[in-house]
Amino acid sequence: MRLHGLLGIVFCVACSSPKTNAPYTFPDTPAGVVPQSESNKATEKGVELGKRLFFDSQLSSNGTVSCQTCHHPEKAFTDGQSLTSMGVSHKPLLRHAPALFNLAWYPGLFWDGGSKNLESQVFGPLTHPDEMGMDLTILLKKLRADKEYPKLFRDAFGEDSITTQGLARALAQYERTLLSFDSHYDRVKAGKENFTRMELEGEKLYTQFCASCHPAPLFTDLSYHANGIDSSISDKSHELIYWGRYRITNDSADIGKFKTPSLRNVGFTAPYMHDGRLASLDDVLNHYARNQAQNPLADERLKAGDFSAIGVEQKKALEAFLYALNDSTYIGN
Amino acid sequence: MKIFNLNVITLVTLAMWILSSCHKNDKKENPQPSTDATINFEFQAVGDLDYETLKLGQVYSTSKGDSVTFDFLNWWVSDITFTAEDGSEWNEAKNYRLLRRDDKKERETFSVNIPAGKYKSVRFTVGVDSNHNASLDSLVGELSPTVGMSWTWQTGYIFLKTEGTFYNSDSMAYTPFQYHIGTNANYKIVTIDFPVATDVNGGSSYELHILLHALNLFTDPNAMDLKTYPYLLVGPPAQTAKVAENYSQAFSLHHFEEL
Repeated sequence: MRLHGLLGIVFCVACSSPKTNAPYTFPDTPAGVVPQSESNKATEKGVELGKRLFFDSQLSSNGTVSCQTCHHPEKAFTDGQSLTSMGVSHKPLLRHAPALFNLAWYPGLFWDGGSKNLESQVFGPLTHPDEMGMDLTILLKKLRADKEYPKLFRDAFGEDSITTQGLARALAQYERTLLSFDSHYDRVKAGKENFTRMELEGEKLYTQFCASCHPAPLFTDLSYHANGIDSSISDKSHELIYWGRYRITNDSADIGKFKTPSLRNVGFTAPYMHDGRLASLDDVLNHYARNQAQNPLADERLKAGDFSAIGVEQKKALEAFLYALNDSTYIGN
Repeated sequence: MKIFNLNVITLVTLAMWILSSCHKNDKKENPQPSTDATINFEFQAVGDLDYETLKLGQVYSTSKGDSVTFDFLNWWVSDITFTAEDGSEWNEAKNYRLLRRDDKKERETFSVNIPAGKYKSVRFTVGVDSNHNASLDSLVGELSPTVGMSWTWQTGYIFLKTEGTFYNSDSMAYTPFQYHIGTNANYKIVTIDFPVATDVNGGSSYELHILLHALNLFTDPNAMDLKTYPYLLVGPPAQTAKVAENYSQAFSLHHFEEL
């Protein structure tokens, strides 16, 4: 009996890795199970490593810029600027730093969806000369020479895992854990809190005017639309960056289309639009109240013009509902 | 007490055996079966002469009347397949090789071992298949975002990348061109037929020398308009499709013979 017990211990010691790396447990969400990459399922250690990398400015060429530089947790991981010049070159970027939450559901990353998954997306800001400007080969050397990273990578992914693969997978795992579903709205839907009369009125207006592109529970259709902020685009520079989704699909129907951002946390994520050109929520609502009937770069749904008749009180109600989508827990308040 | 000691010894022995059996890197002696032959591939980018490696910075005249120079020419080769006279095929396990003609590389060589047989052709692909082109975190062969052959703003690998200059009749000077060709539509299979079915004997080595005719990128079957489209970076797709068709027809056999 004693022998069997001892043998069992010997087996355990011999064949299980000394540090266990448990699968990461995602909470249930109103949007269902959190989607994962088949080849990169999140683990406790992987997420922990990804979080550390996210906040580490060693990942930039001059050691001053981390992911967090443009993605502040207290602003739902955006930066409050229209076009930041906080990158290593201090040149302004051409697009607005997006808020980061509920990323696991998006089939495309970046404002035009050009990146197909989070694992591939990370190399964009990492290597862009005006963002983190990092040479990946140098970064791998740096991480391998670090006091702590070799162990953290080993714990997360096994031996010899300080590769671009381990780097991308850790960051992607962490980003999938950025979930925001604890707004006043969510608590109302869970029966824990109640809407004010104004918020209720606002929800009706949202359903009528906004929900077709911004459906609950993610408050985005994860797709691409031309919302009429431009009526023509001619600048072909920067590999057609101003042309929106068109530069990815080369389909003329996609000219001027950009990804629908979520309305969640809208109170924390000003300024708005892919280039941050609208400073306030008021500006956004005024934009949608404009007549778009003659604009070739406006989605058909914006052409009916119903929203232009919206009154001041209704606008206030709609804003009250939109602010109910703020998730104070998510931004750490 | 004696029995206990014995048990301890047994246990320690057992434990050591178990520990050693758990080593993952247990290498088993696995010599190449003697029926295999070694094929030494040699890929050589050439200009206007079949026996001379493409010279970087030298002016070449294309058959369509353009004057061009090259800074470098890199491309991916994968899915190497040999077809035997009887139609049976040998496929190399998934591998992606980045072949370069640049200031460091004159020509590229690598070997594969194939079973003995009588072969009539070899096939390979230029580019990366749609599966591995969908993400930058799958590191097979030389695939990696560190080798300068991928896009980050649009996920995918650059299948063939070349840069240089061409004589621009408008500015009457040599101005730059850049061809960065990729996307799944431009993934091309190249088949090279041997002049006669060739016996490949086990234990022997063969040299398979393949040329990439760099000037063909601009000429056949599609004459490229360098002045209008000097920069083909991902797109426009109608233009990159033309270059891809040109590179699919730019390879030829120099020789395939026993060493």
